[in-house]
Amino acid sequence: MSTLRVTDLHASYGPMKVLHGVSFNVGDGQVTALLGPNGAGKTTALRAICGTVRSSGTIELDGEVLAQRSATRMARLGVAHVPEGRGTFGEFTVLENLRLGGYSRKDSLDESIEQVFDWFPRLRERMTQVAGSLSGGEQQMLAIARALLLRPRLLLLDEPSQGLAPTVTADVYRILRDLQQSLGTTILVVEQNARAALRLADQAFVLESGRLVLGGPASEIAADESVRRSYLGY
Amino acid sequence: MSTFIQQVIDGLSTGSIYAAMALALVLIYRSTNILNFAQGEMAMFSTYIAWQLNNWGVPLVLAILAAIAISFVGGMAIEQGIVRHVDQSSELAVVVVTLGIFLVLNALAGWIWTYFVKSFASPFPSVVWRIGRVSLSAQSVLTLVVIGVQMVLLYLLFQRTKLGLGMRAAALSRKNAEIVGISARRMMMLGWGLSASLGAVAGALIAPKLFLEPNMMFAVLLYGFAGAALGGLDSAVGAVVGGLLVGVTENLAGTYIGWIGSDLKILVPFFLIIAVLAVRPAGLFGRQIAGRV
Repeated sequence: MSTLRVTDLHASYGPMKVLHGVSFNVGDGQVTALLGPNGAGKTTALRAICGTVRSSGTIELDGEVLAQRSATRMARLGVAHVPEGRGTFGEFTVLENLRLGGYSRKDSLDESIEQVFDWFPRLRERMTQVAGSLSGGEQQMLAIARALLLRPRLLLLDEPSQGLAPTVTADVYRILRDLQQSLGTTILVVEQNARAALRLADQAFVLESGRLVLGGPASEIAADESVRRSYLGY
Repeated sequence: MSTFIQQVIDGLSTGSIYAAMALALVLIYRSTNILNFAQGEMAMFSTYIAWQLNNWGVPLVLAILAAIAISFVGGMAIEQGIVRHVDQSSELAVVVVTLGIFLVLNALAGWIWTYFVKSFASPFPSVVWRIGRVSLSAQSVLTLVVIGVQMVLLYLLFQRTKLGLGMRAAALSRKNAEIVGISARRMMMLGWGLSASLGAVAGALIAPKLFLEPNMMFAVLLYGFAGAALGGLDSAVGAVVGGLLVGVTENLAGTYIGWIGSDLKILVPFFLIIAVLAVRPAGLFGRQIAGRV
């Protein structure tokens, strides 16, 4: 398990600055939610952490400063990323996608795959189907299952609710909660659906226009009606 | 009947040439997602390397094996030195670069070894078996055996190994591959290396049937593409079946349809391909992309 410390993170796409000095911590074994409206820079923050967008600032994982970051390197460090659009291979079978999730591991994956199938029984049924034929919720579950196969020190989730019906979102979050409770995985979840994410999270930060506007225990943020109205839209 | 069997056997023999080339094309397509127009010239160049080593006194089989190894390194070098620096997001740019490599290798071979035709000995015995009125050469049979073995190995590589899964993933989406820790760059390099060695095998199988000269692969590449497209560009089994089908239909049509003769027979497989692709755009064995949005 591990902690992630983000300090003074700036990021831009070409001339357009998206993040203006964002700092936050992700506590060991905790779920941290990064909330905010569309275009606030949530996804960019995840990308900057993974090194797939140009950024400055310091990222520390368990006290080690990660200077040269790339998607490949982060995976090898044990940071699993479920990106926007899920990042699974629609042309590959469910099983192949899961095997890819554990690509950076040297040991056998069979046991972990069995374990993941226990979490996601629907995936076991659809093991040999191509991922593209799954429903949206199943695909999201596959993306999470795939990330778990890395046995991640840190799990980065980008909008797990995206494109899902409310009941399916609730299913996905229920499974995430169960998983987190039994595995104790450190999770950083970026989410526009603040209500769902706040129920899962231990702490939360709110981004607006590339700046952190507030942060604190998730329960307090969820309880503060004015915060909910002005920043979270519910 | 014996004429028919003989024509099928001869067709399989020609088709095995196309199949060999098609396999190399499928390998690079699956591992890098591009059509490599330089594949034929790379094979030709590899064959010259084998010929040169043999000419210097290296035993033929050793010379071919050495050429396969040199081609592996050479293929990776082409990827590292040239292909990597092309904008990968533009498939057209990469294809144009492979055409450039085609021209360079062709000219280079002509410059080093001249355009005079050379003969390339077969690594196989020149035995011909006769069964009734049908004759069967050991060379054709062994060529088919080698291609069959390659096909199985390639299938196992892609479908059963971790490396193969990584190569396929990197070819489909570099970004998604990197997220799980696959070095897409290394996969591309390996893909080029492996397909160059497959090309070397193809060249060594083809050269004894044709002659060794810088332009020997023009037609073979075209038929190889045809075979690969017919079988499905992403299927090793499809490449072989497609290549063989092209060879057999070409031969049978030339024999049995009077007005076609030997001049027009090359058109027949192309009509067959158009017909097949109209019904199954991914080819006979290709992966049909099914998606749900």
